Amino acid sequence: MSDAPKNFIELIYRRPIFFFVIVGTFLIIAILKGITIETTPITVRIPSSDTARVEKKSENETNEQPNLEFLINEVINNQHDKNKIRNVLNVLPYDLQVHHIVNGTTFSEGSLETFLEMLNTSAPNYQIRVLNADAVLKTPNVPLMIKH
Amino acid sequence: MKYFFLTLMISGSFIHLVAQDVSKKQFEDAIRQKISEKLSLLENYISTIGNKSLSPDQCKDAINNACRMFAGDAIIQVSNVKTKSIIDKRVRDYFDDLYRLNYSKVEITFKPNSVGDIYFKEYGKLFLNGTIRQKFQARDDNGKIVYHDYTIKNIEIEVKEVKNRHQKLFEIIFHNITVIRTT
Repeated sequence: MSDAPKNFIELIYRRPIFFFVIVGTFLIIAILKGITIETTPITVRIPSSDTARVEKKSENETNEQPNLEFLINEVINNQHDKNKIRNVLNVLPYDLQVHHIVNGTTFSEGSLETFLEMLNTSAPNYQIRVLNADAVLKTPNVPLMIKH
Repeated sequence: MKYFFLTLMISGSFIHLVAQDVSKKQFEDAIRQKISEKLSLLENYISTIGNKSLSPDQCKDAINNACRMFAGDAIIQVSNVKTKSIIDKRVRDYFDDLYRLNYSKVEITFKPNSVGDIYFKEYGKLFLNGTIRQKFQARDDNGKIVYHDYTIKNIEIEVKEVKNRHQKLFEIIFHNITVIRTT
């Protein structure tokens, strides 16, 4: 019993393995936390049934679909050009809900038409990425998930 | 063995606190970035509404879009450097009056906006204050400046959590705009 460490510092001194346990645990949890923050918005928004469809489509039909990402970035790149907005609205419904992911936080942007008008007039200094183009084109009422 | 679990518990608590701080900072950064974008958009709408060289349709679209950014009961203060008056107007009235200003040419430009710290106004409701710096110039038919001012305004901004089955969603809603100083 007299050999038992008297305090925490003595414990670390006598058994250095505990130091590595603390540092190792810290690193593992920090890494896991980081991965969770980045992936949650992406994985949650695509339903499992659509995921299978997305995989199938990417093999055979990619070229037949409109490139939403390109069309929306054209809205940003051509400020005050309403034709670019119309090009997107020819493919997607004007009242489609848009969710914009910024730094891992998702913002509700309202309808697609309003959001495109915002992009077309506010001159944002970024290009967007569409995260669920296939799901949006195939399934009604799936919000458009975008990220930049 | 008990020391092992003791160590694990202490380090676990510490790590949890650090992780919370990191995600809180990321969240605040995201909110600031989105608000700054929305404020720039609002400034763009204000410039568009005042611009006499644009078509009525363009101005009306801008008015509708600008109104959608505000809470229903929000007011906007208007100041006049000559009369030293400050008047409260409902959001749509403010934009309609701006559109109908009786000058030949109106130029409204903005210096970079800024966003303050997050605070809780009511339970569970996040708020921030933004600052808008607006330069206004009006000209007559001869191109002579007939009125100009520089106004610093405060805007109250709500970050509202929207209920959704799948995930947390946030919405930016503008509230009252008040005049801090007009010169």
